[in-house]
Amino acid sequence: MKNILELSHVSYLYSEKTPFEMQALHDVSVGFEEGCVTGIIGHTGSGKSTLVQMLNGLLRPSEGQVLLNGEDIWRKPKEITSVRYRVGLVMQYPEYQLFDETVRADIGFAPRNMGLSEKETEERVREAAEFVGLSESLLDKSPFDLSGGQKRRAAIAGVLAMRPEVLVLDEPAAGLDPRGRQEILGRLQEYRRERRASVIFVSHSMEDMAHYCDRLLVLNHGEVLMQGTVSEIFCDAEKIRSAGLFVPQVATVADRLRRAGVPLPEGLCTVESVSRELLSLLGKGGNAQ
Amino acid sequence: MSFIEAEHVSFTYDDGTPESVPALRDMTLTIEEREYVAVLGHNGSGKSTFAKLLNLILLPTEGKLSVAGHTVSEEMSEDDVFAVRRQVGMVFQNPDNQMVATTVEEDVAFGPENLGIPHPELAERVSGALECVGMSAFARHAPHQLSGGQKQRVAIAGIIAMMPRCIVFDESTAMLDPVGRSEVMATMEKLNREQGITIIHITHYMEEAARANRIIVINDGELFMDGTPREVFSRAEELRSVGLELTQSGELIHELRLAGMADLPNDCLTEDECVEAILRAYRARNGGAS
Repeated sequence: MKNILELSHVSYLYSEKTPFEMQALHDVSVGFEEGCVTGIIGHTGSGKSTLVQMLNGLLRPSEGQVLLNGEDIWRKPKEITSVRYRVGLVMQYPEYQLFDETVRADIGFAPRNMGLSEKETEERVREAAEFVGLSESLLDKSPFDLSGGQKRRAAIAGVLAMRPEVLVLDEPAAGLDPRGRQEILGRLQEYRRERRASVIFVSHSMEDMAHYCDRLLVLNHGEVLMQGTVSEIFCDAEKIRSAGLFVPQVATVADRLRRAGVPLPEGLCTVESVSRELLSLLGKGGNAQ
Repeated sequence: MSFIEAEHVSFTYDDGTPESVPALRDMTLTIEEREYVAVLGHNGSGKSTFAKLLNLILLPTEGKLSVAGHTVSEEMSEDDVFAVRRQVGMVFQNPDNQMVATTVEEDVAFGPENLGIPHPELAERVSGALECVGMSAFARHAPHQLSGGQKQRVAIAGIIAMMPRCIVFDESTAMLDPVGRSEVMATMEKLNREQGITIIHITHYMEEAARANRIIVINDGELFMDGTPREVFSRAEELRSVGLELTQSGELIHELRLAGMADLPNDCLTEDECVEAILRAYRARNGGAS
């Protein structure tokens, strides 16, 4: 499958050539497949946030290249803004970045900057707000009068309004309750489907990653430790643990059952897949008990 | 007398104004000293408001609340307010917002120093607290050199150094990576077990709540459930109705039961229990073989 975004031998140093120089990424080469939901996991300080800020040109690699559709995004540095419209980045706790007088104006900020007409901007605002589940009646309120969950949605809508080909989010579900997490992450999958877009997001919840992603990238101390499908990654529990992470609880349950003689396939890591496999093994006898 | 006694406690933000928002309604419950309680509820359910009542950041707008033997009221003397706050420490969500000094040990000393603890004792408290959270080796480090989990443990040490009887953790694991989360969980459980400190842990992670001795579920400002983790997590549909879920092990068993495997127990909490229950069911269907 084609890579929509690719990092080729990317390194990044913060405060380069000062006594505070710190290498955040070291020779990272990784491809993000078009049309996939790709998750990025890694311990605090592993380089996740640095990496996502490379993807839309917010940070420029100290070494190496970032390729969007095969083209180096830094080939013409003056045109980097157009990359930022195509690769939409939602930062951590994006609700702290709401700033305008109304929710409507806030969501419309990017499309207006893209040079779209008022009519087109208004249409995009309505579409994005509806997509994240913000009702029309909230659009004329101040963003500061919204609840925490609503603010998060408004901030994400502000990026969706650009209709980016690639949507990148840094911990979009952090701090939300289980239902809020499901809603936001479910919407991301929906965006991918409806817009045939690619989605890349960071999370510390291995359970969410197993449930919502097709592929995973595991970072460890600024380097790529693993990349592959969710099942491939969570198969290797030992390697995951070596990076300071865990596999989802249900993957461990499946693994222990298999070791105890239950013939389950390898690589199961969601409640749905484990229960489906178990039912096909046991289910026929289930009602007979 | 219980450590915390709430009788028909309500709290309304901007009470008496047109913008008033009721956040907690008619809460009646008691929490004993040495308990380990998890608090669950959706965003905006009133969990944090509840936490803020416990160390008098907020005062109830209705009802009767007593904490550590003091009846809470607006007429309380300042001395009594501080006496309660000294007993009930709080650890918040964002570790970066809780660091006040330029080295770890100064940060831990900030609280007890403000309590007027004299010098030889102050140093003892600081080193004892750092040892307790496993951060002694970092005493001279700058807070910004620490990981998220380490910063939270320093924040906890700062509370321990004031020798409280109760610590409230308000989503203190929400911003941490998996290792950071397990470090903070291990620390709070050790404080409960070894020092008898009452722990109140507000969280969105069901796996964390399952480790407490008691779970309180708050929904739309009201007490919705109160019981052992086993009791609370056996009521799957009610939990779902208020936007919560089970542990992953619990979810798996629940799915299998819904699909007809009625012989599985409905109160599996841990990975071990889940594995054992499924193995039992599997062996029963395969004539005890394997």
